[in-house]
Amino acid sequence: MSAEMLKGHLDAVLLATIGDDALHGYAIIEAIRARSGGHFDLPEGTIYPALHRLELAGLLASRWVQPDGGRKRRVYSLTDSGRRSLVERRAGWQSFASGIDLVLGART
Amino acid sequence: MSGPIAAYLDELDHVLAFDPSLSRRVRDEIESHLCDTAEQVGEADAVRRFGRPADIARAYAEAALPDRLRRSCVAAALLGGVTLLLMRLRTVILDLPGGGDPLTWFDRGGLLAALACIGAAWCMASRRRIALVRRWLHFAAGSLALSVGASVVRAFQGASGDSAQALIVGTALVELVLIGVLMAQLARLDRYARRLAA
Repeated sequence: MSAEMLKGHLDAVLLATIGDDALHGYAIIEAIRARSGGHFDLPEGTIYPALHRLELAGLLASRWVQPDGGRKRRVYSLTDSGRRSLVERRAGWQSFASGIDLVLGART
Repeated sequence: MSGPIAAYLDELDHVLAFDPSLSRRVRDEIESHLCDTAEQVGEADAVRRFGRPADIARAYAEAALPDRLRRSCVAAALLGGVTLLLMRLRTVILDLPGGGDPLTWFDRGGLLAALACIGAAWCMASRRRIALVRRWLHFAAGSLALSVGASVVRAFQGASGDSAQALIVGTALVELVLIGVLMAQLARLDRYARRLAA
């Protein structure tokens, strides 16, 4: 899937990737890459503004953490609104994907 | 730190100068990311993979725009509400006449015009029409300044005694501070608009 196609679903992908964890930006990008089997290799610079936007929208919360001897990082986790939004987005995606499957499947 | 990452972060600072608090936050976070990436692919590739600073700044400006528009409208609404309250407070405590002289007209008319402009700005903010939000909020700030000025002059004309004058000066200072807050919000909004237009 191209980055352009993914753009409309970026928020849902970010929320689903973070899930119940608290992840920093680099880990989120790596997780997206790994979970998608390398299909979603997003331009890294696009992720941080999107995380910022989701935080301003109240769907994510962030805080700085610094492990002993490690690098200081901002980690993101879902808020209650974020969890609700993820549930809605998953349902919306499943409905959309089913519709697309039906349409595309009818031609084959 | 020196090298490609330092140069990149300096450039990012420069293009994010429209919002200093955002710039500080972004620098720390992205520095951490670039250092992680550089451990795998080297500094030059880490920077290249991240994208052009101008594009990143524009994406941040777009991401933060709804929040900035909302804050500007909230500041204007707060100013309008406080101006209305203080105008009423001065009128009641100083027992000012409610006649139809020009000062009273400017006082009330300015406030009503400002509230209408704030309402229009709020509608435009929900549609992310940044230019129209700025225009309506500038009208609102001007109308409120006119209203506050007329209200203060009117109060001084009807006041007698030190306590009355202290009340007028105190309330006027509160209003001036709030006008300053609104102007600061508008200046920040202007910088966002310039970044988005760049």
